Order: sequence, then structure tokens, then C-alpha cells
Amino acid sequence: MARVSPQLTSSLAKDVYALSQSSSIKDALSTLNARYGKILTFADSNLLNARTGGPAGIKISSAFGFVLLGQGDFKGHAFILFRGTQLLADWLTNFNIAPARTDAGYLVHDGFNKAFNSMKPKLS
Amino acid sequence: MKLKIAKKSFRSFSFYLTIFLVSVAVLATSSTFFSSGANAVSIKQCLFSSMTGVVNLDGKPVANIRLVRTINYNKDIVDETVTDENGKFEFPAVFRNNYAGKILPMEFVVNQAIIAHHNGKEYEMWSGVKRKPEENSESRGKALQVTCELGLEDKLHIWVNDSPISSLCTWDVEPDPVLTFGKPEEDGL
Repeated sequence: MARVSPQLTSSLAKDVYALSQSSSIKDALSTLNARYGKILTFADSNLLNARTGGPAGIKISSAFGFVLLGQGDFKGHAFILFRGTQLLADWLTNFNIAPARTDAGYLVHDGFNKAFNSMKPKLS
Repeated sequence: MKLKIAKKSFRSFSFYLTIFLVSVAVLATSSTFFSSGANAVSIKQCLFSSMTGVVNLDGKPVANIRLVRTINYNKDIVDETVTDENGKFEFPAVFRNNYAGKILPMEFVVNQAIIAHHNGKEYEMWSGVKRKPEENSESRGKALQVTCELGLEDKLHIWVNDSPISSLCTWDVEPDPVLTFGKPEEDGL
């Protein structure tokens, strides 16, 4: 398997916050190119929205990530990016520390699992 | 059998609860927990540095252009100004005290936008995402003095201090270089 460098993945993990704020797909792509050259482009699917927050009523839905596709040397690679804690409401997700089961049966953080499940339909 | 499972999940729940309570106690007793090193959380944060500039249309400064600035950081902060007879304008710096971030650290992500209104048309003169809380991070510490040209067909897209800015403006700043990464490597797996 061809592996991309950890420098690229950590850089994307940092830039997902800024890139998920773009006002249009055109701006987002130009901004992406200004940062990474032509090695990446956005997948057809739009931004991934996730519901974060606590119990119903104080949940908010916001851009939580997106999918990038590699081009040129990076063709064949897909990058699924998720942002982390950016809004105060995200802390309600973080504090939801009960364990939950994934579909595959593994024990995971319930807060992230709920946020992930809310955007899963867009990923598949 | 059922009872056993319930007991087990209760035990793991109390395990997580203990971790949670311990971390809250740590955070509450040590206010300096997040205020040193690379992850320092500053309380006073600059959301938009003070900006002075000139607005041109087809190379000529234009008076009476209404500029509306919107800053978004969990909520919208909106103010506006008008260019003078020489096309000049000024926006003061906007700060915020982030006390919550001291205990609950968060990424600094602030949306910046300036829309120019002229002759019934709207121009997206500035749209950026500020990722550094320091004042003048948009211009690497220098005063932010911009020259904007509403007649530009395409916005200029640059990154400064890990913050992307798409604008119709130029100012004295060296943008972040385009990042380059090695080709993906076969690891034989």
C-alpha cells in the first residue's frame, strides 16, 4: 500500500478548520490550491455536516469535514477530514464520555460516535 | 446472564465517570493547565486587526463606498464604514475575551468578511479565516494597510500564518509558501 507522509496528514488536520469555512466551492478550491498546489481536489459530495452538542434541543449542525481526492502523484488517495473542537457546543459532545458500540462492535467514545453517525449517510 | 452484562456496562460506565471527574478536577484546580507551551490559550484574542486602506474601481479611488464588515466567532459581529473623498477607509481592531477557552480549549477559527456596496452592486472585498489570535497576524505583525480593486475579475487567494484570505486587496505581506510533500511511498503492506 502506498502511504502518504504524516506531514501531509497533519497539515490537512490543521487546515480542515479553515477550509470548511469557505463561502463557496470555487473559493474553497482556489484556497486549497493556494495551499497544496494541484495535488488535491474536493470530492463531489459537499461538506459533511454533523450534529454536535448535548441532548436534543441544544444540538447544532455545522460543517464537520469533507472529502478530498488526490491528483497527480496522489491519484488514488482519498482523504476524509473531520474537524475537532471549535465551538462551545462541541464540548457537550466531548463530555458525552459514555462508551458506545460501533456498527462493527467496537467500544468507542459515544460523543464522536453520535457525530459520526449523523454524517455517515453522506460518506457511503 | 442479563444481570452480568448490566453489571459489566455499569462498571465501565463508572470507570469513564471517574476519568471525567478527575479531568474536571484537574482543569478546575490548575488554571495554568493550558496556558503554557505550544497550546497556550490567550484570553484576549484579536478577531480582526485594525485595517486602513483605499478602495479603487478600475484604478481610481472611489468615495462613498459602503463597507460592511462581518466577523463570526460563534456569533456575528457587524459594523460598517464609508470611504472618504480619497477612497480611504478605516476599521478598528476587534477583540474578544475568551474566558471559556481557558478551561475548555477550542480551535481559534474566526470568519472575516468585508462586503463593498457600490451602485447597487455587492463586491466580496475580503473573506478570510483567522487562525491566529495575535493582532496583525494578517500582515505578520505589521500594520494592515490594504489597496483594494473592485474591478478585479477573480479574487486573490493567499495564506498568511495558516489563515486563508480571499480578497480583492493587496498589502505588504509575504504569503505562506505552497506546501510540498513527498510522493506516497510503498510500504509493502
